[in-house]
Amino acid sequence: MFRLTLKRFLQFLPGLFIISILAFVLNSWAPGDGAEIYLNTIYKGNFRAETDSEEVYYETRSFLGLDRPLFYFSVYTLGDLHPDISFKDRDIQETAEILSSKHRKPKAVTQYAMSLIELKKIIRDNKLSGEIYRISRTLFQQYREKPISANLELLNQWMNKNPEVPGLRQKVENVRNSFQRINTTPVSKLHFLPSITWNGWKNQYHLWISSWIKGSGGTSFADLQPVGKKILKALKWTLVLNLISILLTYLLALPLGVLGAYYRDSNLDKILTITLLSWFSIPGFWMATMAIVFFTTPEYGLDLFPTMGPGYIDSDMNWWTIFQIRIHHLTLPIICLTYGSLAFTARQMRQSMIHELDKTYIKLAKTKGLTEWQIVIRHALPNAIFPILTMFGGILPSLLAGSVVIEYIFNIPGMGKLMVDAIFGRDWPVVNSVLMIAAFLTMLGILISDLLYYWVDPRVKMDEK
Amino acid sequence: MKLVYGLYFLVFIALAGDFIANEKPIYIKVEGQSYFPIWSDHKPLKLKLQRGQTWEDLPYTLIIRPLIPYSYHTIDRNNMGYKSPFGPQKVTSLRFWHWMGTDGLGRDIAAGIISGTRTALLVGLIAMGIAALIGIILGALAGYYGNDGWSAKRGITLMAIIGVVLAFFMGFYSRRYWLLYDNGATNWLISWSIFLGISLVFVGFGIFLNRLFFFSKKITIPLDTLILRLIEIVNSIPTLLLLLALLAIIQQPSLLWIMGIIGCLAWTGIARFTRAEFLRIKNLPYIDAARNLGFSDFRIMFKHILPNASTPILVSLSFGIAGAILLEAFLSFLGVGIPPEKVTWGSMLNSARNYFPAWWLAVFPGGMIFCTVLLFNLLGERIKS
Repeated sequence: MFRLTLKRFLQFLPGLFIISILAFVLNSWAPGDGAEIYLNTIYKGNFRAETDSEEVYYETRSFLGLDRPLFYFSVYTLGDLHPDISFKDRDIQETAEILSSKHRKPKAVTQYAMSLIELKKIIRDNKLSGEIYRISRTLFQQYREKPISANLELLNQWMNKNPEVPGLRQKVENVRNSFQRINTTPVSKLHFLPSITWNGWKNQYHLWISSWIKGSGGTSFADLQPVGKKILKALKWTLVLNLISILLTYLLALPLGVLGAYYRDSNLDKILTITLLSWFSIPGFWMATMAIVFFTTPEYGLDLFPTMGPGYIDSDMNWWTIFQIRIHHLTLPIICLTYGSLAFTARQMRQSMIHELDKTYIKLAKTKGLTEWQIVIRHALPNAIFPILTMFGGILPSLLAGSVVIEYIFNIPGMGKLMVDAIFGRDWPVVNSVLMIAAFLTMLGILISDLLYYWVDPRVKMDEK
Repeated sequence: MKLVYGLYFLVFIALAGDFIANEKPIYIKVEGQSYFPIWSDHKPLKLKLQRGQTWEDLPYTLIIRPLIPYSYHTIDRNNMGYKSPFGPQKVTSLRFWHWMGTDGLGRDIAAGIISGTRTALLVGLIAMGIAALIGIILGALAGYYGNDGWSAKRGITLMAIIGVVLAFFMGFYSRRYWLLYDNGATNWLISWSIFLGISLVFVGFGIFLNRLFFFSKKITIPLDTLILRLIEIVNSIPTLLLLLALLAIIQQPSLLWIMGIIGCLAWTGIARFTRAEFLRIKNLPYIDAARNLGFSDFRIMFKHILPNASTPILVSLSFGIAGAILLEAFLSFLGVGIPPEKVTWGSMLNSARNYFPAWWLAVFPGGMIFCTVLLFNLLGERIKS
């Protein structure tokens, strides 16, 4: 048993690794610049108005680890910029990358980018602002020939109109020459060869995953709190909802399933089957919306439940009042979360029970003269129940998805609500962390149900399932 | 199979939606001239409406309107602000009555439901089509070859792996500027030909290597285990959360993304059923016979086994379509990933949350989702038994 558990667990590790890579890739694809969003949260949206914004920006970038390479190794072609080269300006960096992937001449492109950096430096040193600043910024973003020469021409015009700035003319000339050099230098012959560099442990993935292992999981863009803390807080609600829901599901589904199987093909069974199938097809968010529309507003005379949220709790309330408030607020969400899995489980239970009741040992029990009650409860039920118990791993994902719906609609601060809020707030670290945690929980559920299955029926070989 | 008629009905609504609910008349006769304004999207109409003019204002002698004389985007200025289907509505005749009410902007709910049918079915069918393609191929491979049925010589295996990786790198990665910034069909064509060319060269080299001593040994690839692992991993990805995360990242939402992502995640059930059926059928005598006749593996798999394995595949396909429609409805309910101008069942249901007294906003679109999902679930049940 122990060996099997270990083996199964080890089989899960690659999956976990792949999921973490997936979440990380999503994280790095996300639009917006992490450092920029971080700073905007601190400076309440107007950090670009601060004086030393560029310096602060790069310090924050390296503080957040965003200047590191993405993964343990980088793959590039010899025609690309070397991944270690980085220019301390986002536009110039991007332009250099595009230019090198276009022209396949990394050296010439590097020189061009360096000349741009020098131009930027002289403009900043002389505190030139206004038109020339704008022209230079557009120049930094161009990678096609025409707009670049047009912008250089604009720079020349500006210089002719305004008082001489020492060195500026030369720098502009430098930019022009180095751009022409990109066109004139021949393409290096080996530009298409792939190449690989080892980045060591100082990379973004490593930083991210080790912050997960330590439990913080990065910083939320919304309030700069550790993501892990936020998720833990939210997980509490999701777990409470789902545990109650699972408990209710099994408590109600087992009797319903047994009833259906026992009175098979009777009218009762037919009604049960149709009811359960239609419950199963009712979309959770429709049910929840209907519940909110009809049962929480006085419009239709059925104002039975409070509107939304988990209820407000004062610190000096005694547990009974708290309990009442919670029950009052959570009844509708729990009903909406439960009925679907209840219908599913009851149908499975009916099938499993029918399968058991058809077996020969039940006939033997009948001929022995046992009462129907005894046969069903003592003999068939324990055998029929096990496949259903082990199914719990399988319903966990759908419960998690369901709780996204329910928490969002009923405004309960669980994982699902956290996720949806983070998506609307463009809070990518939270989004991808929730994704990873949910995948992890699902894997755990599958693992547990596999082990339960084996525990119940050791004849099942793990690999041949 | 009366259920199939329900399916036909839905498909009919989806296909003919523009003729059932449209603000433009099907036929109008003005001053002795006949016009078909409903085609005007495809063929410009000679008859032009003035600004602020409606079809009613024209001096027509005969007009035939669609069943619902509103498009999903038509804003009825007289009936803004949630008009109930039973309540007072400012309409000129009963022909223009909003049978399912209006939303806050004065758009007809019935017309929205008609247009939502198309979106829902499109997402369900195309997403599950993708899923079926992936699932059937992988399931068939896993079931037919098992863990020891797929073997190849070392030389060609090694070269094929190296070749494909290198070809991808050279064909696509190192040409990414031309693909991303100078987007053109020729550039993609060049990339694909580089990819295929390099792959072929390496495969050819692999065939040559196969003759050499070390490389001529066979290795078996445990396809079954690999595919089962893959299924396990994909299964553990929470579809809804991944969809939400991905769609939020994508800058220009479109239905294609939703279909593609659902398709790439929903194939596991189909693959498992296909695998199980293939495991069962491949040991039957008629497959042995086919093998002895010298038929190729491909032919045996897809011509001899697949038709007999189709029932469970259809069952999971049917349930899958129900699930995909639900997912789409929920995504548009949240307003994630669906272009905002699109009216779908989910987006209408969401507007019910803005104004609680408008029960018709909650009941009709939700009821439509429910009926469709129930239809596909029942269809699955029926095929199963």
